[in-house]
This record gives sequence, structure tokens and C-alpha cells, in this order.
Amino acid sequence: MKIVIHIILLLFFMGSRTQLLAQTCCSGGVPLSGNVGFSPSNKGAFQIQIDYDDNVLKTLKSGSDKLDDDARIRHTRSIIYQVGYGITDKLSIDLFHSFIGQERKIQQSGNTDILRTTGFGDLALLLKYKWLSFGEIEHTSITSALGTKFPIGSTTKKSDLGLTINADLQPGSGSFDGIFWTQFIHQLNARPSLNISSTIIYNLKGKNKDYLDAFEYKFGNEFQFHIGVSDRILIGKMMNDPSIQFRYRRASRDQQEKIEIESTGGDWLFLHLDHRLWFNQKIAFHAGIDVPLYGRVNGTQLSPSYRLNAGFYFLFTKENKDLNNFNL
Amino acid sequence: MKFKMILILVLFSFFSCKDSNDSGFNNNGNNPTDNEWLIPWNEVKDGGPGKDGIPSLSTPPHSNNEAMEDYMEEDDLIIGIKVGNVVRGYPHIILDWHEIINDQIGDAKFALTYCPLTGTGIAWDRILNNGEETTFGVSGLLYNTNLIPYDRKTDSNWSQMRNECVNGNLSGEDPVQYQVIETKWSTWKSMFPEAEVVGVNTGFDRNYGNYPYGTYINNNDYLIFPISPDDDRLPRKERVLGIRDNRDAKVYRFSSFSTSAIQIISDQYKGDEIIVVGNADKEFMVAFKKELSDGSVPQLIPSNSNARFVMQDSNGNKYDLFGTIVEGPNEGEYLIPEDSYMGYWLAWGSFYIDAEIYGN
Repeated sequence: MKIVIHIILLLFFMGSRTQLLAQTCCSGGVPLSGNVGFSPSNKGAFQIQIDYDDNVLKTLKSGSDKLDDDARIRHTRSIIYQVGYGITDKLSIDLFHSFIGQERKIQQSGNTDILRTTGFGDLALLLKYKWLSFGEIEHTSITSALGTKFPIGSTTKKSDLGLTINADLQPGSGSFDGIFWTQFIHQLNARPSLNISSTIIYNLKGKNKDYLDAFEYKFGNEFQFHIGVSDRILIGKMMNDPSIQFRYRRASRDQQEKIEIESTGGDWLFLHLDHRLWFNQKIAFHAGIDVPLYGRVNGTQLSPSYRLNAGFYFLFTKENKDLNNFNL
Repeated sequence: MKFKMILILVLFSFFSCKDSNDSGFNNNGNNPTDNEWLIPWNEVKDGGPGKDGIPSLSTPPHSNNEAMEDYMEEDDLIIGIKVGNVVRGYPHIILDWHEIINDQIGDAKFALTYCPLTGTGIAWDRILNNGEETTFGVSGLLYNTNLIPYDRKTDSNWSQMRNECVNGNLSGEDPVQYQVIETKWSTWKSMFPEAEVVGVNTGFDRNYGNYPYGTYINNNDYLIFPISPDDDRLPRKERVLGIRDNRDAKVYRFSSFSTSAIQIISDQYKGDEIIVVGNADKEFMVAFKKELSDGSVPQLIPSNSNARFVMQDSNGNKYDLFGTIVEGPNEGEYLIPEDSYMGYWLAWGSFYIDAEIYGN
């Protein structure tokens, strides 16, 4: 019965959001890949996470300089869902997918121009291996993953004029990408509820060989490094996991026919704050925000302004999770 | 049960992605037909920035050459318009970021439209055929990688290089053109020391001087949008002067001109006796009919002694780059300009199939 309710909930999220706007490989680097990867799980554990993600780009930058121009806004709203299953205590598999809605709004010369696209994004599959579990060496866990992003999202969305929209506003990328992910978590001896964690994500982007029916297009490879701390505290009768994280992201320039495109890619440093609330041992809700601390874009581009993210986490396992074990 | 759930989710993911052809919810699904456009619809592309995403300028403040010195390199290109005795320059470093400048000199109200992807600068009258005044904006659409401006009065789309309204209420109308010249900054300063120049105080915060298209300007392999046909007789990014006649064109290359002295090429095109004046080092080429505005036919020779003049005639008249007699007994008369402008070969070759190349 519970499972049926969860599936209905998932369908509801997806079905009722047809007016949602998009998110893409380009603008959505942090929203999408920043969510990839569950914490380590054990054999038989089945995890689901459903997130609503709202990413806003309205800061026009040239290099690291902010330009005094707010005529353009890119708004990306996504339902991101992720399922994970522990095949063994060491090996697990994650599936990651999203429904994306994008809106580009330009207000210039008294006119407002709005372009919206919606659609399902690409699908990512990660095979994760836990090198080190909590307890093997003190309170440390190291997990790595290799994965592939399958280009099942549309790259042929059209504007209301019937014209194919540019690559960065399409829900899909049209390319098979390679994903490398690794995560280190350490619980402090003095306070085991306090985790220090870091994550490295590398996306090796493939090529869309049919861009505009004429060109080969490749989004820029992307590197991310996250480092942060989280704690588990009891407030009232509920466990709470506040966390703070610094997220560095570097995206190379996109390429068209192997020629780098000027105003694509850059470096960003984000502050990510998140709070997770455990309703019981298997269900949690979290909400978070990303704010850019630093951004340097290549050429002149819109740069992320803020991102909001909230969602539910469900754990299905025969064993009851002991929240006092601090092993998420 | 868990495996069933995974299976359901995976299947749901895959099937839900078959979202067929793909209209965003803002798309009414009614694709325009070729009948609604005078150009092949499948060759019109969404340029990416969106309508007005590249902001046009309206009567921006202008200053003088001296005020622009800090922003211009000697080889930077500038487009010039002359109305009466007023010469005004529009630097590429501004046009690269705005593409259209709605401007006015005296009673002449015009829009200088510039496409960075085809390197073409053309000036149109802003008074429509029905007598209404309009301004032009950047539609965000491209045809054969060339700018499609839209007029804000009727929202009609105009093809810059076809010089024609190609979609909307004014479909089929041709705008009235103004003569434009293009040269490099160092030449401009010496030829027009008193000229007005549109400066960087445009009201927009842009990094003027930073070319926004990377290596596009000189990489012949680099196309951002497809063109058809892709005529390979000349390098794609070679800047040529094209003379237009309806759907035909003839282009002239800098390599036909001397790098030292100004040179006049006498030629014929579509039955007209024409001259093309140019210099490869100073980077200018301009084309005129061999006929003055008063109907007389002057005997012209190049003028290399004074930077302000490019030609002189046997009557002692001296001509500036616009073909106007600026000194001499017939001062004020001018050579009838040909319908011509500078642009990348890729554009001339794709818009004017089998365009004639002078000297080939």
C-alpha cells in the first residue's frame, strides 16, 4: 500500500507539472549533476528521492564583472527523481532522471518575449562501488561511481514559430556522456553525528551529431568539487540534518564542429545550505539553497543567481534505519 | 516488490520520454508555411538570444573621433553614412553587440542594420511605405545565417540581405536604402576628421571591444548556422564588396586593388558603366555609376595626395569616399551610388547564387 502511495505521489508530481519550465545541461549543471548520487547504502536497500528544483539565472556577466543589465531571466524548474538499489553491501545502482521546464524571458524596448520549453531530460545510470564502509576504518566511507547519461531527452523542441530552439534550451543534450562520481564521508570521533564530506563529479560530455541537422555539438566537460559538513541534531522528537557545503564547478566551453564557442563555460563557487528533516527512520524532507559566492564566465553570459531545491527521501529496507548511527 | 517498483519507474521513465514532436507549451503547433514567408522556412533559424535579446539602440548619443580613440584599434571597422554634410560613423565594436541602430540625421530617419555573422551593414529608411515611422529590433531569427530585423510598428520580419520584408503585414515591401561605406578606423579618421561617431555611452553595460563570437571572424571553417548554398569559390570570411541587382550580384575583392595607391576599376554591370574605387591597405571599396547627379559623366582619376579625397576629375572637382564632390566647381554634386555594401563572401555566395566575381 505504501509503495502504491509513493508511486501515485511520483506520478502526481510529474503529471501535474506540465506547465513547468526547463532546465538544461548548460544552465543546469549544478541542479542536475549536483544532485547525483545517494549516500552509500546496504544490500537490499532501495532509496527514492524526488526533488523540486528551481534555478534562476539573471545575472549578466562579462568575465567576473557583473553587468548592469537585468533584461533577461532564465528560469529552470525541474522535477528530479532518483532511485537507488543496493545490489550488495558494496555495489549499488542509481538511476537519475528529470522532468524539465525552462523559461527565457526578455524585457527590452517595452516588449516582453517569453520562450518556454518542457520535456523529460536525459537519463543517467550510475554503478556505485563502496570502497570503504563505515566501521571498516573508524568512521569513514568512500564510494565511487561510473555512469552514463543516455540521450533520451528531446533536442528538437520548437519555439511557437515552429523553429528548433538552440541547444542550451533543449531538455536533452543529444549525447551519451560519461559520469565519474566519488564521495568521501568521515564522521568525527569527538562528535560522530558530525560528518565531513567531499564529492568529486566529472562529466565527460559526448557529441550531438545532428545539431540543427547540420553540425556536431558538444557541451563543455564539467568538473565539480563539493566539500562540507553536516550534523544530526534532535529538535523536539525529530531528527534534523543541517548542512553547509561549498560547491565548485568548472565547465569548459561548448564546441561546435570542434570549434570552441565563445560565451560558454566558466567557473563558479556556490554556498549550499540544506536542512533535512526526518519524519521517521525511512522518510525525510529536505530543503536547500545555492547562492553563488564567485562566478567567472567565458565571454558574456547569464550566470546563476540562486537555486532552490526541496524534496522527499524514501528508504525501503527490511531493516529499520537507526538514525542514531549517523550513517545516512 | 522492490524490483517491481524499480521496473515500473524505469519503464515509466523511458515511455514518458517519448514526447514525440515536441512543442513547448507556448507552441500552438501551427508551423508557419512557406506561403507565410517569402524565404524558405526550413532555412530560417532561431539564433538563440531571442527577440530583442540583442538590444537595438535608438538615437544613441554620438561624439567625435577623438572621443572613441581609447576604444578603437586602428584596424577596427566602422560603417559610415552621410546625409547632407553630416558624416556619422557606426563602429563594429558597438554594432557587434546591438546589430541595429535606429538613428536620425536631420530629417533622415534610418536604421543601420548590421549582421556580425555575415559582416553586412545596410541602412534602411524608418519611414514605411504607408508613411508611418517605425524602429527596427533584432528578431532573433536568421536566414542563411543573416540578420532578420523586425519592425516594431507591424511586427513584420525583414531579411537584411534580401532587402525585403519576408513575413508579416508588410510582406513583399522593399525598404528604401541609404548609401553606406565601410573602412577601418585609421582610414576613417584621416578621411573624415570632423565626423560624428556613435560612442560607447549607449545606455547598455557591455564590454565593447571584446568581440562576442570568438574566432568566427577569421576562421573560415567556423559556421554557427548552416548556409545554403555554401559557395566555396572564395574563403568564407573574405570581406568583399557586393553590388546588388534584384537577385543577382557581383563582388569585388581587395586583392584586385593596390595596397599602395587608390585605384579605380572601370567595369560594367547589368548594362551600367560603373566604377569601383578602392585600396587594399586602407581597406575600402565603394561602387558608383559613372555618372554624376547632374547627369554628366566625369573623367575620374584616383586622388592620393590628400587623405580626405579619393578621386578628382578633369574639372578640378574632388570627391570623398561617398562620391560627393566636396571641393571644386561642382561642389555638392555626387556620383550615383550603386546598391552595394561590404560583407563576408559566405553571405554573398549563399544569397546570390552564382554571384559574379570580378577578375575570375
